[in-house]
Amino acid sequence: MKLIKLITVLAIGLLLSLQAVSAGTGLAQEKSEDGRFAVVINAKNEFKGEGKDARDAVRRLFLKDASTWSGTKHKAKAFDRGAKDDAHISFVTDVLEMKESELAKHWIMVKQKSGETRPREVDSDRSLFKMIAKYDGALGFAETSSLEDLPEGTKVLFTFGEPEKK
Amino acid sequence: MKKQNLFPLAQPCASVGLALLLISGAASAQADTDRIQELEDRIDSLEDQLLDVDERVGTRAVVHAFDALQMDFGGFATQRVNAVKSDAHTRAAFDMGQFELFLKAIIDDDWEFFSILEFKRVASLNESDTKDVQFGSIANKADLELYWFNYRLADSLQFRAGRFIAEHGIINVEHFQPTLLHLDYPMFMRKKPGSGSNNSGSLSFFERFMVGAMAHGQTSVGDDNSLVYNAYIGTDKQNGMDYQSGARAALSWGHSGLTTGLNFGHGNHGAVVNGNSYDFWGVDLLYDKDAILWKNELYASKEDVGTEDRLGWYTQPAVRLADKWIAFYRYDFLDNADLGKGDQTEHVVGINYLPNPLVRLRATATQASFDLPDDDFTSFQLSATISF
Repeated sequence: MKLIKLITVLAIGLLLSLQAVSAGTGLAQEKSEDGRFAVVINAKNEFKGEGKDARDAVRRLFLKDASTWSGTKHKAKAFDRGAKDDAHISFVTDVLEMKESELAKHWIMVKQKSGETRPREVDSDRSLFKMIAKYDGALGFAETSSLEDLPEGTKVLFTFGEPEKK
Repeated sequence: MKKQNLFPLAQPCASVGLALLLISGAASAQADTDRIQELEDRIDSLEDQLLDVDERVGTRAVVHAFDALQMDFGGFATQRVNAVKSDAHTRAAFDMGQFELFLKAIIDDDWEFFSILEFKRVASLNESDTKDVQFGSIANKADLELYWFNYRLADSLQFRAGRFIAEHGIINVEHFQPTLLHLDYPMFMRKKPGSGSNNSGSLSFFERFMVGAMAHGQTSVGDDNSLVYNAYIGTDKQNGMDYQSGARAALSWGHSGLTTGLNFGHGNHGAVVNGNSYDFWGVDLLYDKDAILWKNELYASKEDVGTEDRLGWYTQPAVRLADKWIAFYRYDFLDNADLGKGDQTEHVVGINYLPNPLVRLRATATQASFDLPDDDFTSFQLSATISF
């Protein structure tokens, strides 16, 4: 009888602890099923594009081939991550569909033709999210696991990249 | 008599409560540890940013634009050494050194200003005597190469005024040395009718720079296609009344890497060729995907009086051997009508090495041939361009 009680107590305790642990990481697990990284934009941005349209729009705006979000009056303000950051590497491959050397050539070309500069690099997720919340036309990207820190005034446009292998 | 337990569930309940208390305490401690770790990470990140800013600025003065929202500086520098072998002599010279400074000011979301200052030392190649091609004297040049302000009504319609690039074809649009595989432009861009000079300059098929006004823009067409277009009027000759007008439209076909362009315009040679006016048109085809970079342009002119019609074209396939190496070949043809040398052709082979995306080292060999007289010469060039 005592053994049954002990097992019951341990089972309840184990159940409660598992629930507590899983509650904390639930968001990250749910998000990473779509993609390891997410493009984040300002919540006021009324851009309606989805799927391929959204990717094309982000590609054109990031590369400064366009300056305004389609269907809105918001001037785009793109933010990049450090060159060695996994988010940057995946963004260049999956969203821009370029090699790093092609991207470097693109920025030289853009600089010569119109004096445009490449998007500013932001290292910290929190700083990035704050910048995105500040500008209506802002866009940036981060690991989906960091989206727990996503402040008010921002939203996810789409996710990209292979989910991280566990 | 056996003592009866009045509260049979008290013991297990107490055990559960204790377990919950311990778990909750452990979870809370873990949460505090995580929170502290997160704060430490943020402090580390802020310190890194602070150090980065301090390293860039330190105790130096920070430059502010008087009124612009943003101001950017950049530029590039190029040095070339050139050896030319013709029938009579082989000559070599550090024939070109160039430094250009870019300045961009953003006034607000719609208005911006861009300028390029050019400083150049150049010894032009004189091909008047094809049996003894030689370098001219060093000429120093300081020029306001570009200056324009731009108003953006929308991405599809913008207006530009000042001195700007006449956006015809592929290479004239790219124009600047940090992206050029070969420093010499194709012949239709650099050879003047009635002149033996190889110097890049005005009075080629079209003026490469314009002082005037241009409307331009770009828009999406269909699912993935992108259309870029412009129309301009201006002048860049000694006589400010010799106008050139022109237009270009180029369509990029989705993600295929293919871009096709149509160009046409009207110009005037001014005093150089009897005040002759002419029309020109051109087509261009660019394929830029994966390892292949293939540029093709063809231009023709119809001259009013004083000279024959002209024709110039080139094809320039290139292969990216790796991220840092590009090999290319260019076949270049020019029928420049009154140049007095008949048709001219150039075969150029070369290789570019980019140890860093901002540094380009080139080695090229050119075989130039003339019909009248039947001569040719060979040149070998080494050059380096650094961009910043």
